[in-house]
Amino acid sequence: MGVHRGGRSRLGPRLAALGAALAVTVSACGSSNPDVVTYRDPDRHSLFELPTEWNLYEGDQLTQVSIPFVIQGQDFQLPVISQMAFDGAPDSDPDNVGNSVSTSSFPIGAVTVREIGPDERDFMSRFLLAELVVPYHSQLGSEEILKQDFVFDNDFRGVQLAIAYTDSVTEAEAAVYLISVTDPNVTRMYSIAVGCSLDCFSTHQEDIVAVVDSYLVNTRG
Amino acid sequence: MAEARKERRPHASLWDRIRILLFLGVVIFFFTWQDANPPFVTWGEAFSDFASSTFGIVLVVLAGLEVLRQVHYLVSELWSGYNYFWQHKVFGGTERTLHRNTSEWFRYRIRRLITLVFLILAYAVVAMVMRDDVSSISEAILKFPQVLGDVVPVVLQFMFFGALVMFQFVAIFWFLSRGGIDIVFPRDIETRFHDVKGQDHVLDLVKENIAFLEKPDEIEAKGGYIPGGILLWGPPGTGKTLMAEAIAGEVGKPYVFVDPGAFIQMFFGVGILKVKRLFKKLRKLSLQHGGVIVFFDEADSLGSRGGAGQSPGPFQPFDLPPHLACNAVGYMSEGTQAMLTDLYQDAQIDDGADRHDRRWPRMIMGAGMGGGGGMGTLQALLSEMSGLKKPRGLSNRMRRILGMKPKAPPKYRILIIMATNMPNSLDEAMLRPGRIDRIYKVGYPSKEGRKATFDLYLSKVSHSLTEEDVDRLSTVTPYYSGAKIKDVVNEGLIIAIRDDRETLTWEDIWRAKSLKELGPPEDAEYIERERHAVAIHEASHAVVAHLIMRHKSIDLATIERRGTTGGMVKPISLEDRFVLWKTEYETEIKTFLASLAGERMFFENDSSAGVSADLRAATQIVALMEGVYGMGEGVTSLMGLPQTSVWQTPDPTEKVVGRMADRIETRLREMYDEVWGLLDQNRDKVLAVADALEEHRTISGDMITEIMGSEPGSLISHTPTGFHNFERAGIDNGKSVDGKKGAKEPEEAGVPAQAEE
Repeated sequence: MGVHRGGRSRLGPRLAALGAALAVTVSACGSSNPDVVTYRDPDRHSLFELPTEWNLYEGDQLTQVSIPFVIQGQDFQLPVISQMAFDGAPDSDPDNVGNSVSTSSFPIGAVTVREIGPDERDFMSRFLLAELVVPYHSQLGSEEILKQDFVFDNDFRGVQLAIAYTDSVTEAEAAVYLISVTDPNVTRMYSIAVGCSLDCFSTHQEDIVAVVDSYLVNTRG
Repeated sequence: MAEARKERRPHASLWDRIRILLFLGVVIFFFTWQDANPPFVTWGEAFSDFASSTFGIVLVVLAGLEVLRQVHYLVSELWSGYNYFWQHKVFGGTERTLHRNTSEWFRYRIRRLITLVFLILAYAVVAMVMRDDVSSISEAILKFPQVLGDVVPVVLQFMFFGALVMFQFVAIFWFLSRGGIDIVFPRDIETRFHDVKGQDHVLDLVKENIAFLEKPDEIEAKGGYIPGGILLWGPPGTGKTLMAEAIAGEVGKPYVFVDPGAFIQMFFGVGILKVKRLFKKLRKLSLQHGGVIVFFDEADSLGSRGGAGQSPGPFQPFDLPPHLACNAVGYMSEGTQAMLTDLYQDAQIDDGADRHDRRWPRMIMGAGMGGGGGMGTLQALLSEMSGLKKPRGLSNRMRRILGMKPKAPPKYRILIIMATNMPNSLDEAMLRPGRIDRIYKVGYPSKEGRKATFDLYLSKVSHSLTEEDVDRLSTVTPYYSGAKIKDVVNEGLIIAIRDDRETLTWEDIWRAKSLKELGPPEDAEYIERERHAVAIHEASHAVVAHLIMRHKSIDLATIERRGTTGGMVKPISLEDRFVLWKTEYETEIKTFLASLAGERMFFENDSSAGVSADLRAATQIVALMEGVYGMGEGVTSLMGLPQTSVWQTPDPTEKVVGRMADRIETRLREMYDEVWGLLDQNRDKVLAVADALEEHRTISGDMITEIMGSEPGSLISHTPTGFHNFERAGIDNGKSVDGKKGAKEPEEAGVPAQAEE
């Protein structure tokens, strides 16, 4: 509890500054940055841009790594059909993305496509779309800095969310920015999430926001 | 060979060069466009994806081959040596080798095999495109049963709906194809040959056919065949239908009566079905009863297939041109005969009267179709009439499929009898031997025939007519058919019953005959002076006719109005004659002129317009005598002169009038003067007959004879010259006049020359 309070006391002014900065950054969405590389997952489900100095990991590189932002419940399993991970570390190492987001000093992100089974379909909601990426509701001092509905073409709907929380394991403060949507028939869940420690987030927030905002889903896929 | 080496391929147009490539390009583009979704799937990736699919590979390979082909063509167009190499060495050599080493049958089977392979490939491609679980040709072939299993329900569904629609049509046509046929079995037919009166000569001919039907084996054993069809043609009511019934009754075979309207249908194909159904039934009856008779009444309703351009008609034997109508043909060359026949046919087309008699009915039935003989019905009938010897039936089909020789069909003994009063309306093909083998005219009965017919119908009623009365009755009813005789007897009976009498009298028959021939008189009364004038008019005719006419007798004279006729004197032939002679024409002209002479005589040289028809008839007869019949001063026949133009040709009599008006007028005047003299000598007789007419309105020839006090024709000083000479020569009517055949010397003949005067 104390941690929670403490966390909140430390988070307060910094989150306010972060929120203001996010608002400015998000409103500037659409501006192009020449120093980015466009990536597309092998199955052409989604597409996003990363700063040139960031590292992308995919395929076999990720077999031994615990991918962040892919949460599976005990009774609520959504099989991953496509996944890519990336980081903003100076050195390229797939293990980077296996580190705890809350303690990472560089942005860590993941782009995933998961299959929604018929049994899970009726339970899907904006709450779950966020929880299956970052279960922040169970974390201490979680704050939704930005939360809004998000719609792609062809009625791909979901949520856009920026959150800050204190990791219950590391007790470190972290921030994550994500987009999570489903197709109209609710058969697939598409998500991108980038996060790191709160300090890191403040430092790289412009890149993080740009990466998440560049996310596109193949609505004809 | 040198020329072949220099030969290049003809230059192809740009369109020919690119059209297949364009088609393939459009198809490839379509599938690429369908897959492209930049930036996720770029155009290049979409094309690559499609090109790596099986269907894409096929299309791309085809496009590549097409490019190669076009390059090959282009080089062939520019380089003769290259063209020669491919055409004569490669393709020509392969062709020669193939032909040398393989048979045509082998190559045919190879072509079929290639077709089969192509079909399998086409199926495989479609299966790969349509189904997710099929990704290769081999898979498509292996999964064929599964694919078939998936497709069969859909196909069955479509087949079911198709069958439903077909069933509706079949049901409708099945219902429509029924009817129009009546089958009478032997025990139900009571009509026999003795019931057919007045047609003995035709019956004799028909009986021959019966013999054929009863003993077919005799003819067939000698290599002949049974006549399959008889056409009975002639005027209505002459007993054609009765005769057909009598045939069925005598033979003891089923009799199938085909309704004249059976084949007149609204829908195409129903008539054909009816014909097929009819003959199926006939074959069955034939086998069942050893023969069958089918009777098509009013066969002209079948019509013909031709249109306006068809030749005048197949019925030449009964419609001979005049130059072939006597023995003249014997000394004509074939060319002359053909030329005269052509001229005659042209004249027939020009002739308006003939147009009504023959040409129009053909055109109406033929060109108009009318749902009768048209619409394939006639063709089906012709086919069935001559197609009875073909192997038929399911078992024969099975035998054919199994490669066995089909069984010969049984001998169907079907006698087809057709009856018509418009023989020229029948299709020429129908009348050919093998279909209609015998054609008999059923004409009006002779006097003997009429007498037998009167006897038959009078025997069924109570009457007081003597043998002499019946004989006289048959004399005064020329051209009476059996049906008409029956009608007159029945009408007489009705008159008798109306007068509360049980017995039919001569008066009843006479009134019935007048009623049937002249129609009922109008209920209109003349004013007195007009009635007298009409009576004088008719009495003048009657008196002159009575005095000078021997070849005809006065049946009646009347002043009762009927239609546009104010009155009439009705003569009848005393004998069945076919040709009139000059002196007989003259008596008729004088009888016509009598009305004018009488009116002028009794009305102080005044006359009415009522003589116009008489004068016209007299003039026409004189014109024909002068210009056509050779009974005048000249011998030229104006009928033999060429016609000027089609449809506008004036009547020959008008030509005569135009060219020989003076001769006609002179001759008419001479006869008029003679008639004037006759009437002047018999003024009292004219007035007496006129009085009788005014009193009784209608009087009989007997009454006129009674008033005249002399026998008819008493003033005539001779029989027609021709008859006089015949009788002197002792030659009967109908025999040759040349003195060679049938001629007998008077002594030898033993017939005294008739004394005249």
